Amino acid sequence: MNVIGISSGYHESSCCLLQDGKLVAAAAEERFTRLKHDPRIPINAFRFCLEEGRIGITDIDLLAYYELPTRKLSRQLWAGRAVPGMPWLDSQRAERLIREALAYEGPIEWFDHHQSHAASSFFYSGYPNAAVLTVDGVGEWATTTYGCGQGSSLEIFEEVKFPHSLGMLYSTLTSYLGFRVNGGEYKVMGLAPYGEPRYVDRLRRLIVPGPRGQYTLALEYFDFVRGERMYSAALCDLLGASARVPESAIDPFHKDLAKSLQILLEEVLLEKVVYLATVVDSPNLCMAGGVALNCVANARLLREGPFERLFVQPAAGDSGGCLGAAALAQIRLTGARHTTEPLSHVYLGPRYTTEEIAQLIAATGVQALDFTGRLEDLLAAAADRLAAGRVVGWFHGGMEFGPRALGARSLLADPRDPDMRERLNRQVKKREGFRPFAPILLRERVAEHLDLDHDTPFMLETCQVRSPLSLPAITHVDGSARPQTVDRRYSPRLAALLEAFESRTGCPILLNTSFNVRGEPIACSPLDALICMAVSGIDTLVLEDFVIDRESIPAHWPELVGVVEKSRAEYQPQAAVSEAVYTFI
Amino acid sequence: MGSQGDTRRIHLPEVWDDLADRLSSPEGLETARLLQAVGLLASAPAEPATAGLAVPEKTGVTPGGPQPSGDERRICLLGESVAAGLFYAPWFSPAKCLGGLLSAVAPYQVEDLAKTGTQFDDLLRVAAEAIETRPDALVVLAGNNWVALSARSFLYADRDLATFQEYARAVRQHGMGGFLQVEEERVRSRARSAVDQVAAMAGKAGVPVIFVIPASNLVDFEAMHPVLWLPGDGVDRWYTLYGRAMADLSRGDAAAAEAATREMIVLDGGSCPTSHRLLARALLLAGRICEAVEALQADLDTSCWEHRFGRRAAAPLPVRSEIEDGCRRHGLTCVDLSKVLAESAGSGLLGRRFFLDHCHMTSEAIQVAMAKVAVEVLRLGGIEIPENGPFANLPAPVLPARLQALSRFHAGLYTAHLSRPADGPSCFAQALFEDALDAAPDLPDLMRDYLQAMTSPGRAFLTSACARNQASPYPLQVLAWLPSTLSIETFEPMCRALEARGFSMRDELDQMLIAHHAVDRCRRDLAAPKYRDQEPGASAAYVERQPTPSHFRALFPKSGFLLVTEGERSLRLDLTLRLPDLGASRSETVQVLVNGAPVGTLRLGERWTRHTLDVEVGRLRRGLNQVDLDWPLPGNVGDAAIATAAHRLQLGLPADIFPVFGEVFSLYAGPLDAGTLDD
Repeated sequence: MNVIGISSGYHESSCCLLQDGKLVAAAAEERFTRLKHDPRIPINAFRFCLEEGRIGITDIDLLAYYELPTRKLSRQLWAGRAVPGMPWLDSQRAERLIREALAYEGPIEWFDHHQSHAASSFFYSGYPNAAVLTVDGVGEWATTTYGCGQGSSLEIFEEVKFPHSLGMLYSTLTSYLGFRVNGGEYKVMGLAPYGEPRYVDRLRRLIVPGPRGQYTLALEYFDFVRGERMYSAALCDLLGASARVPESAIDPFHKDLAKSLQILLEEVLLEKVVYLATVVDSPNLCMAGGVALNCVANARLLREGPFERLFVQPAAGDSGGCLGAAALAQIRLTGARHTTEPLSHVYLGPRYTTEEIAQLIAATGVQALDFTGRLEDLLAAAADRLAAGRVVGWFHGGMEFGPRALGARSLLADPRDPDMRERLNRQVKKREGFRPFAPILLRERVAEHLDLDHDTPFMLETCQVRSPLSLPAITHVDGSARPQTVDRRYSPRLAALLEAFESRTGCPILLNTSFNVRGEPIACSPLDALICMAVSGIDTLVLEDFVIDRESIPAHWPELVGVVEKSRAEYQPQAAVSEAVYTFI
Repeated sequence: MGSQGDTRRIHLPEVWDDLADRLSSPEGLETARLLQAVGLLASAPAEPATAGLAVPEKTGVTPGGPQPSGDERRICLLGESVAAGLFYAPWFSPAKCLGGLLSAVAPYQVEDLAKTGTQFDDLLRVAAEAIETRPDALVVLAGNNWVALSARSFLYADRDLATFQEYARAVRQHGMGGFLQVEEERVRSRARSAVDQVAAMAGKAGVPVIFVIPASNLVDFEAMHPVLWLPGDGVDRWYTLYGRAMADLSRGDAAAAEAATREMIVLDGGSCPTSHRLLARALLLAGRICEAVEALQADLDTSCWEHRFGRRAAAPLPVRSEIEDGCRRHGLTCVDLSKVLAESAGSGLLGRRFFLDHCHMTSEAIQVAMAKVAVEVLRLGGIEIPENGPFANLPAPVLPARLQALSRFHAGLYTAHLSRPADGPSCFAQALFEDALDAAPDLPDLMRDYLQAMTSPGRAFLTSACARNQASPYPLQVLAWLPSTLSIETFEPMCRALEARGFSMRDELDQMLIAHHAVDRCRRDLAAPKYRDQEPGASAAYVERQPTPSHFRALFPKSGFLLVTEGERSLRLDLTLRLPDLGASRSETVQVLVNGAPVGTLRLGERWTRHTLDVEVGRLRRGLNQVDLDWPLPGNVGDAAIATAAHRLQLGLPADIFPVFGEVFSLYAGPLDAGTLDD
C-alpha cells in the first residue's frame, strides 16, 4: 500500500511516501529546486518519492494533503485581503495543482493543518498515548491546538483561533528585530542568550491568557492581518524604539528584546503544557508546529513541565505536515496507525551510489582520494583533517528530512578551536557572527560532557555544557548547547568518525552545522556539495568514499559559479510571500 | 471589510465557513471571479507598473558621461543585445563601429549603454539617465524584446485577473486568435508609450533621438510552431494539410505545396507561423521571391508571441509600426534596418549574410547599419554626407579569426538550441559551425571540449573539459550558464559540420554518451527534459528558466525521446502514458517507433496506463537512438477545447491554447532484466 503525503502552498513544500506502513522517503522541494523555502507544489520531491519507492504514479493508493483549503479560505475571507503574487479566493488550487502539476488521478484525502501537525508528532513518536500540543502561525483557523493521542486515535479537543497566535507573536518580533519572517526565527533564538530579559513585562502586554489553554493577542500591537508589516506603531511605542533595519548593527536593546521574547514564549508554553496535563493523563508530550522548533523552550518544558517525555517531530514546521497527513490517511485506509515504533532517523532523502559520485568526480577532473572499500582509511583521512583544524563537508547516505543537518549533509569541525565559530560564520556560512553551532557526540558519551539524561537525535533541545574540555565553538554565551546524540545503529559511519576524531584529539565531540551557505537550501546532491564548496570556505569535502581537499578545486570554479548563480537569481521565480508581510495565505 | 481591531467577526466563524463552502465549488470560484471583476471583492494584484520613470535606478551611466574633449561630440547608444553586438562584444559592437565611422568625419565619441536582455523598464531608465547627461544625440536600437517580455509574462501566468478575463473575452469572440489580438494591442500600447516617453524626455532636454528599428533573419531561422486550437476538427484538418504540404515540398511540387499551405492559412486565420513558413518555402521553390519575402515576414510577425517555440526576440509589425509612427509624431529620426539591409543586399530576402542567428547582426550588417545611423547623426550635427560619401562601399570589417570563430560557434549553439526546423536538425546551425571551423582550424578541440562538458554528469562548468577550455585560446563562458542538460540538439549540427570539414567526432561522442547516459545497465527516464528531442519547453539552454515541467505534454503529434545504448542487447521500455482529457471519453492508439521503425501500438485512454515493450537488439544502434511516439489527432473537439480555455482564462487560470496530443508521465528504458517499476 502506497500513501503519499503532501504539504505545499505556503512554505517548504514537501512530500513523503508511506509504503506498507513504512516511511521510506521524505524530502522538501527546496532541496531539488535550490530555492529556499520553496512553497510550490513539490513536483521534484513527489517524483523522488516514487523513485525511492520504485513505484509509478498508478501505484499510489491515496494521496493525503495537509490542509483543508475550504477552511483556509474561510479565514482568508475573514481577513479580507489579497497578497501580491498569491492566488486569491481559490480554494481549488491545491487540488488543481495535484491533478495538473503532479498529474495525479487517484483519490485525495484532505486533513486539517493542525491535525496533520499533531499526527506528524504522535504517530511517529512511538508512544502508545500522549498529550499533543501544536503551535504555529496559523493553519486554517487554528494557531494552537490541544489534543490527546491514544493508539490509533488522535483527538483535538481545544484550539486557539487566528488572529491570536503565539507563532505570529514570535514572528512579529522577529520582523521587528530586522530578521526575515519564516526563517529568521532561528536567529532570534540564537541571539537571545546574549541579552537580558529587560522587556519581559512589556512583552507580557502583548498576550492575555484565558481559560482552557486559550489566549488572546492584544491586537493593537500587531498589523499582520491586513497591514503591510507585522507590527504596528503601538508596538514601537511600547518598546520605545523603532524596528531594527535589516542587516544593520545589532545593539544591546535587540539582544535584550530577543531574550525577553524567549522568556515570554517559554512562560506561555509552560502554562499551556500545564493545562494540557490537567486534561490528558499521560506521561508523554508530543509537539509539532513551527514553534516546536524552539529548542530552548523545548528543553525548559521538559525540565520544568509536568511531562516525563517529549517527542518533537524533527520537521516540526509545515514541511513535516506531509508526514502527519500520510499517517492519518493510512489510518483511514487500514484502521490502524502505521507504526508503533518511534521515528528512529530522518535520512529519508536522496542518496547517491559510489559509482555515481565517482563518475561526477571523474568528469570534473578534480583530484580526489578514493577510499572505496577502505572505510577505516577514509575515517582516518577525515579525522586527521578535522584534528588539523579543517572544516569538513560531510556527505553520506540519505539526505535528512527537516531543517537540521544531522550528519548526512553536515559541515563538521573541531569544537575546541576558539576561532572556529567566527571563522565558520564569516568564511564558510557567510552569516551573522552571533549564531551558534551544535555539538554532535555518541549517545553513550553524553553524560561526560552535557547536562542531559536522554537522547536528542534530532537536535531539538538545548542543555548546559558540563565538559572537562573547553568547547568554545559549540558552547553558547550562556553555557548552553543544542546537541545531537548519535546512535551508531542509525549512523554507523558518523559514529566511527567521532571515535576516530577522539582517538586523535581526546575529544569525542564534533561541531555540526548544515551543509549550505546563507540563503541557500542545504545541499542535496554531490553536485550541490561541490558547488557549495566552490563558493565557501569548506576545506575538505568527504563525498561518501571520496575525499576532496580545497587545494584541488580549480581556480576558475568560484568565478563560474558566480556567473551561474547570477543567472539563476535572474530567472528565479519571485518569492511567493513578501518578506515584510506574514499573512499566512 | 473591517479593520485590524474589528474582532467581532471572529465570533462568527461559521459565517465565514459557510461563505468559504459556497466559494469552494467550481461555480463558487466563478462567482468570486465575477465579484472581483466588478470590484466587490479584493482582486489579485495588478500587474506591476511598467514604463515608470519616477526614480531611475542606477544603470551605470556616468553622470555627465565621460567628458568629451574640446569640440568632441558625444553620442549615447542604447538598446538590447543587437545593439550590444552579441557574439562580438566587447571586441566589436555597433557602438564601436559607429564611433569609428563618425570619428573618420568629425570628433565624436560614442558611449555604449546597450545591454543584452534589456526590456521596457530598463530601456527607459537608461534613456532617462542618458538624457540627463545631455548627449549630442541618443541612438535607440531596440524593439526586439518588447514582445518577448509580454509573451513570457503570459507563459509564467503571472498576469492580473483583469488581463486573464480580457483574454477570455477575446477567445470567446475570436477563437484562440483572440489571444494574439489582445497581446498585440498590449504590445502596441507599450511600444507607443516607450517612444512617447523617450521623445518627451529628450524633447524637454533638447536631445535629438534616432530610433533604429531592428531587422531579423527571415530566411535561415525556422521555429516550427504548433497550430492554436481551431474550431471543430480544424486541428485534424490543419495537420493533414501540413503533412501534405511537407510531402509536396520534398517532392518539389511548388504549386501543390502552395495550395496546401494557403488552405492552412485560411484554417488558422494566419495565426500560425508554420503555415507562412511553408508557404514561403513553396514560393521560393517557384522563384517568386517578393511574395516569399512577404510570407517570411508574416512568419516572423506571428512567431515571436509564444516564448516556447524558438524565436525569442524580434520586432513584429506592431512594434515596427509603433516606432515608425511615434518617430513621425514626435519628429524623431527613424532608421529601419530591414530597409537599410535590403537596400544594401538588393533583396528583402535577409539571411545569414547579415545575421549570426535569428536577429543578431554580422559584422558586415553592423557596419551597414551603423553607416546609415552615422549619416543621420552627422546630419543632426549639421554635417551632410553625400550618398557616395565616405560610408559608401565600405569593405566589410576585418575581425580577428579567433573572434570570427567564437562568434560563429556561439551563434551556432544559440541557433541549434532555439531553431526548430520542420524537417530535421538545423542546417543554419551547421553552417555556423562550418564557418567557425573555417575561421579557426583548431576549433575541433573546442568542439570536443564542448561535447565532453555537455555529456558529463553534473554541470558543464565543473568539468575537466571546461577547465581545459578555460585555459585555451577559446574560453567559453557559455559553459557556465548552460544547464545540466545534454543540449543534444547541438550535437548533430556540430557533427555534420565537423564531417563537412573532414573531421569525425561521432565515435567519440557515442563513447561520451554511452559513458554517462547508456540505459544498458541502469534504466533511465527518457521523459526527463534532457532526453526529449527538441521539445519546446525543454529546449536545452532555457529549461531551468521555465517552471519545472512535471510530466511531458506533447504539443506536436509526434514526440521524440533520445535513447543511448551500447547497441549490444535488447532493451525494455516501460511507459506510463495517457491521452489528454478533452471532455469526451475515448480510447485510441499511439504508435511507438524506434529509429523510425514501429515497435508497438498501445491503446490509451484519458487515465494513466502502464505498458512495457521490448525492443530487439537488431533495431538499436550504438550511441544515439530515437524513440518516437506517434499520437492520435484530437478529432472534432475544437469548440469544446476553446470553450474550456476561455472558461479557465475567465477564472484567472492558465489554459491550453495549443492542442495537447498526449502525455507521458515516465518513459523508462533499461535492460530486459531491470523489470518494471515495482518488480
